[in-house]
Amino acid sequence: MSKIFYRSKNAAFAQTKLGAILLLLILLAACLPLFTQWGDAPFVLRFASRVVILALAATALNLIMGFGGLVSFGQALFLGLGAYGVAIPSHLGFENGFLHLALVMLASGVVGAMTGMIALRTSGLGFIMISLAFAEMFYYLFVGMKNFGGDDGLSILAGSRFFAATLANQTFLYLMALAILLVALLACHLLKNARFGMVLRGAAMNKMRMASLGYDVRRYQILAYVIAAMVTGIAGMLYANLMLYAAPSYLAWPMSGNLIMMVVIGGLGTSIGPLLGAILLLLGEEILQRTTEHWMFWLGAMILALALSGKTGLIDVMTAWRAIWQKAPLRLGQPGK
Amino acid sequence: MTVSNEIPPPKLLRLENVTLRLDQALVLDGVSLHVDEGEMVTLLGRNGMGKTSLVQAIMGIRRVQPSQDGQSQIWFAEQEITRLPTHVIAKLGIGLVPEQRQIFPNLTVRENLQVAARVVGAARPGRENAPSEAASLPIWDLARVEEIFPILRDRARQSAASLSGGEQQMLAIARALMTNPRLLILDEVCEGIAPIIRQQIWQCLTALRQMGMALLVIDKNIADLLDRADRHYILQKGQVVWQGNSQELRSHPEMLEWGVAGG
Repeated sequence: MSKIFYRSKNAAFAQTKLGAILLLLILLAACLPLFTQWGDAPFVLRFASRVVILALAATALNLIMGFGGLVSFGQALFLGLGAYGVAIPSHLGFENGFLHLALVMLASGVVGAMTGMIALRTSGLGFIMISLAFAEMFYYLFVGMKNFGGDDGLSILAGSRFFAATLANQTFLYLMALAILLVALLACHLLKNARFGMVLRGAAMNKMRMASLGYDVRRYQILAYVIAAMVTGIAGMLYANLMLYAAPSYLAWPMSGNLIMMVVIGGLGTSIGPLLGAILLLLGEEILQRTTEHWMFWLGAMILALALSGKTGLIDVMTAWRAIWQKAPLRLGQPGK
Repeated sequence: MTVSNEIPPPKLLRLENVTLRLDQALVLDGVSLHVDEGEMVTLLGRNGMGKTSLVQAIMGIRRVQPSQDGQSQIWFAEQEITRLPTHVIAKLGIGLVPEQRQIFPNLTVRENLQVAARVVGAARPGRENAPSEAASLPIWDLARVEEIFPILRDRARQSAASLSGGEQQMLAIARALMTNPRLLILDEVCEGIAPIIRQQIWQCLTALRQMGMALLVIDKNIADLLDRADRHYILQKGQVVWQGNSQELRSHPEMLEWGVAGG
């Protein structure tokens, strides 16, 4: 009895400690604009904004890829839609942020539902190819829209305006992106452990088995796909405000590939993995770019090393290190990836 | 008082001329059978005789084709389910413990049970209008299944993949019970299971039958089932070659040779 009490006390302490660390990290992240101002390093804030925004897109992708087992190679489609959802109205003289947000949500939601309903008729390689095909279709659509910059893209003169504040302001953009990311991470964590997440995760392993428990699996997958599309759309809207520019390259497959890498590097199917993946990938890119001309080679080698380590992401590596550090054997029976 | 005993129990599951072809091969050839409310029926036969295909046809996993004698039809609780999708059939109240268990290895033991609990209440539409046996079936929830399989409570937070074969089988049965079925189909539940666990599973199934749940048990081993089941069907090359009760099966030892190993 006392052993059980001792264990639960330990678990409660560990949870409190983890909560305190998370809170501290969030506070530090929220204070970053102050630090960059004091240190006169605006490029750090701009870099952090880029990390936060792409982590948001990767979190959305994690919902369908990490939990649902659906490798979407066309997620950049929604990032591009989000970016053009700001750039086109701005070009036409509409700077209202709420209008931009509504447009982005509507466009990515509708396109997500339409493409999802078709793509989710297939699975595996078929799904990868169809999702990629849709992204390419829209890529060429925007390349062909000469009125809106075509291949050269479209500059944004003024960012999305929310009352008196505008997303062209780096601090406001960063704080808004951070707040949205934190909400998305929390929502993702709750969804993962809710019935919705359990159905997605179970169906990723055995779709027919989940159906024979009474679930219309495709409906769940379409819903997850649409949610992911809308969240990625919001990330696209923030990204366009950061770059003050929208281009067809945002919809191209290298962007989808980057998002997939962030999810895989961080930890497929883990709640916080996409954020860690985005930090590692973009930080690695940034540091290597400054030190060597062949930075892509070394970045590739880094990813290869992670893959060859047999771990399924940074979270997995950290768990293994923690176990070694505590000199305790790895706990068997941890839920699978 | 004796009159009510003469009324035959309503047919819960009814298959008429069920025919199934896979890649031109005739897997099921006009199979007709039925399972009544509260009855335990076995489907016996050697490997490759079409037992699992029949289960898949019932669950809508494989689509049946018209037979030479007419339309293939599958009825459950007076409703035709031949063309219904799998999730709708499951919601009507058919629980399946599939061959090789097929638990979700990426979920914990508790999550495997919780995800199945979604259809509680909705599992038996028209429960109030159902025959008394069905209406009186207990409601299966987490506490109840963990009561009959206490090991699942102890392993609740473990990954389902880390369970032993016997424990996984218990989880598969418990998961099917969490859907609160009127009919539970068990496909080779004791294959590769230690004898002591097998006995526990048979005891559990006997208890379920006594509670009034209808059971369709697919197995190759008649020895454990002869005293427990009400009726038996023997499947040979996709056809029902014999049907009868346990007493009749005992008096036809040649049938044990036909379709059943270990008889």
